[in-house]
Amino acid sequence: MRKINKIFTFTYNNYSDWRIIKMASKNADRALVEIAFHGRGGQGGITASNLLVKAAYNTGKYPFVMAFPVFGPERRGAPVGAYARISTHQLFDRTKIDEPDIMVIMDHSILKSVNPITSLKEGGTLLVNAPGTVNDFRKEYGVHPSIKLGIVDILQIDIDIGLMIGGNIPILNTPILGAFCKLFEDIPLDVMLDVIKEKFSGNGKATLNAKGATIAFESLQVS
Amino acid sequence: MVDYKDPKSTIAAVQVPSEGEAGKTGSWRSFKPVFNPEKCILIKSEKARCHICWMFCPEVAITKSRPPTINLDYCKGCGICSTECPHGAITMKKE
Amino acid sequence: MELKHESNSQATRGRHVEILTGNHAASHAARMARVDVVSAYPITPQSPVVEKISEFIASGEMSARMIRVESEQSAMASCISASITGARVFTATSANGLAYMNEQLAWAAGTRLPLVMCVVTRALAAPWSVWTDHQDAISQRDTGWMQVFCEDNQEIYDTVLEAYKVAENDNIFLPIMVCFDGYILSHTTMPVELLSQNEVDTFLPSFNSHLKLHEKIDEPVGVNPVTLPDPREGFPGYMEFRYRLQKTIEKAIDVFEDIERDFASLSGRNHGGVVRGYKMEDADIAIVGMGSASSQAKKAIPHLREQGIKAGVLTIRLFRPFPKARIREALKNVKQVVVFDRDVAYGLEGAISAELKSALYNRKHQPHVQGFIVGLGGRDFKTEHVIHGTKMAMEYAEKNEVPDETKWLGVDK
Repeated sequence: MRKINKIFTFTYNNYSDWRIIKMASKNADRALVEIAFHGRGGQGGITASNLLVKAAYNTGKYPFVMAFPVFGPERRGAPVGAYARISTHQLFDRTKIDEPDIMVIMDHSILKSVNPITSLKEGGTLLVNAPGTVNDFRKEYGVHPSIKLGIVDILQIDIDIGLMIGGNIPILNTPILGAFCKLFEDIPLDVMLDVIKEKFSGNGKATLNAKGATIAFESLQVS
Repeated sequence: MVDYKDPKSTIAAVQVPSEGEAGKTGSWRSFKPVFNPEKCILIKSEKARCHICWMFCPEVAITKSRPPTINLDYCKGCGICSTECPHGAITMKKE
Repeated sequence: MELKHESNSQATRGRHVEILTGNHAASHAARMARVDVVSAYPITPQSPVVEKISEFIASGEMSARMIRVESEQSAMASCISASITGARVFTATSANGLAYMNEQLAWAAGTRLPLVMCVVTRALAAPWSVWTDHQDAISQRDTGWMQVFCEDNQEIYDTVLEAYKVAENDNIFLPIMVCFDGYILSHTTMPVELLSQNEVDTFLPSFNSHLKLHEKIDEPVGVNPVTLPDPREGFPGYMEFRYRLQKTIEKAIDVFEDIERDFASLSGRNHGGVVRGYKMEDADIAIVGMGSASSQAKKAIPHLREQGIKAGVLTIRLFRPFPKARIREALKNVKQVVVFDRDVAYGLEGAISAELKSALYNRKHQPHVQGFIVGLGGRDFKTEHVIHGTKMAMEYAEKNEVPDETKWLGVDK
């Protein structure tokens, strides 16, 4: 067992050397926005990333979009990520997103076990589903002052309007996309609502999901 | 007949089954099958279904008739019919 | 065909655009190609291709017959049988599933059946990995199948449709693999512009089989009998069949380009035919790759050019048949070639770099070629790797060195 560990560390260290080579600049892709969603398996992060790129595409401003999960086996409840790139230019990057411009935390409870916030780019935007005030959150998690922070309590919204699966699993992704539109003005709320309504038109939950997104948009605290 | 110089004939190998693909193989024989109608179930009973000899013959040299007939032009004398006949109606005799 | 310098896979004519994963783009293409028979066995990351098709069949959007099987070997056997009768057939697989088909792949090519198979590329075990590299597809390159590699989801959709047209061409009749990177494309959503069913039907008329066994129920024939070393009266020998296979697959390069032209005039989208250039007009250095490796190389071009390195990217789209003449033409003005292989021809070097060298050998213009092994088993192949590899290759070229041992970026000390 020890031997296997040793081999693993050896190759990993070698690989991490690669990251010392810093990229010259990202100027060539000025109109590129990289977004990371962090949540638990089953909380709808992957669906959120797909709806987001669809809305971005529909605005007409970002004709090149891609959304992808963390590649590999999926497990309900485990901390997982989903990513999106939206761009005015053709996308050639096929790698994971290491330093997102915008990070969405689907559920603040994951911050107890993993802390993805440190990977957020300086001057980036952070959107968190958490109770309490935005200033308390910034203090508690030491969010850098350059980061634009948005806090919305989606659990409360879901309880208020009954946006649940089977009465006890709150739906997080559609409200958080509503809040997202307030932080990222390139996607107007009505474009996002159309995408949400289209997605859920089959199961009769379109209006309720749209309502959740609208309330989250309105109740988002930003600092 | 397939003309192998024609490119179309070499698209895929397709064979149409026909008797005597390798010429008259009857000359290859050392032993020939001899049919004994008295033992054949097809002759003994009009209701019987058998034709095992016809089914097994690799050269299609036995007819599916009542009684079966053996085409000695193509029979190689392999003796499979004689081995397979459950009634011992076919025996192999030296040529 | 002129080397195309920018790929054009953006939505152009206001058609219906869906945000689809690469897998689902392939399923939609199979649906619109009016495939008759689908047989496949699930394997990550390919499974969603066939899952989506079975949804289409269940909802009546597609009238294909799905044959459920217990292994990939049986899946390919079912596809072969269905195709012999004149059906249009689709299947998909990955990694060890493809390896398990190996024996049947040779039968399909030898019988000249125009099957289309999506290979969602994934590392071959052992050790077990579900992530992408090109090892699975590359290891089947000598089976007689054609192989195309795709770079984005639009290209997957378009290539599956083109693949049927090429495979079923009267002068071709050969099976074809449409390969795309597992997860990197298969599970990533991108906008895909779908053609209308009318457009697809015009582009892709129904399949006219060279065997048509369904018309010969009363006159049975044997397919693939023992074929002797030498031709005999009325029947060709083994070598005649194999000769014809090779001559046909060589011809497929021109046919593929013609069909790409037809497709471009229909759809307004052009993927460049068999090879595709990016910033190659004035390039001194060509970076060569397939699929995700070539996308990532394009990402690095602005950074390289900022540092005064005049680099361009040559994407090999058609890997089998290997478009030697087209590649030589595209590389005629470059001084140096850097190849990034997401595969290894074990005991030799990266497969693309080995084949590229053979295409350039014994010719007047022989640029320095340096290959690198990258991104195996799903490891990120980053822009930094492209830049570092290119600079390393430039050093070798300057010193006129050609190292015999392979160079593994990110793993070599």
